[in-house]
Amino acid sequence: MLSEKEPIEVSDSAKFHLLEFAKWSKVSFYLIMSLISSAIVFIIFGLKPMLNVIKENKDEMELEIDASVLNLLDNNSNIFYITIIFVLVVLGIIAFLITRLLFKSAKNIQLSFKNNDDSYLLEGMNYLKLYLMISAILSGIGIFFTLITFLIK
Amino acid sequence: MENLSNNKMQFDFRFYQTLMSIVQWSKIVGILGIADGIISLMKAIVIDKSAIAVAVIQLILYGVLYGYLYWGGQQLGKGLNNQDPSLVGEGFSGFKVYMQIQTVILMLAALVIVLAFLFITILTIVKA
Repeated sequence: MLSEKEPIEVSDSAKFHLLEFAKWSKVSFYLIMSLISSAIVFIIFGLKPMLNVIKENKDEMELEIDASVLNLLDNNSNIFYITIIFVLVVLGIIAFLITRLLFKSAKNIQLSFKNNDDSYLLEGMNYLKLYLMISAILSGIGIFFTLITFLIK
Repeated sequence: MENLSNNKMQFDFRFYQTLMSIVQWSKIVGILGIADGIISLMKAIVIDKSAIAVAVIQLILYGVLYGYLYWGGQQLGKGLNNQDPSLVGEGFSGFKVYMQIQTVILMLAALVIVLAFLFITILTIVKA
């Protein structure tokens, strides 16, 4: 039984690594957020000029462009851009919600050390558990679709 | 480190359930991450040979990244089962390194976006 186990003293090195983990988790969260926002800005302002440049110079650039991409380049309608922006925004919101769990975990770990209160640490660990659980489910779904496309081709 | 010594903390029964779940899920995420890298490489070999180099780099990065997560989970689990605080510390160091590598990968991705932006800006100016 887990509840019958003796309590383990948290060593100084474990505390140090936990605090470092929390620090890097926060950095990671801020980076993901800036990456998502810059990707959205890039798609809104940069995709159309980039596709136009590729379309005009596809012979000079000697690019081996797939027929479906060429078709998209020829008919680069607004629906195409709006769809890409919409998908990116939805993915961004999902990524924000997931990484927010990591951020909350880091915040609670730091608070537990600041206030010398291990209930914050427990809350932080619960958020970390949730983050890992959702990451596992999402990467499982990702692998499933990769395998499906791989097997179909 | 002196401040940390003043902070008396222990993982009692309230923590065990959560920590054991963290151990399990970190191992699962680790295995799935490495599997993802391997499948991408297989896909590149079978379908698109030009993507092999990228797939190999991806596999190496994923191997190190998720390898540390898996190792961290394993050490934490061993530490909890054997009541060994040093192994628990090692487990958390694995998680720390995982997060550090993830940060570096994210920084590289941000760099790629900045470079793409620069490329488009320069091309647009040259064409104009």
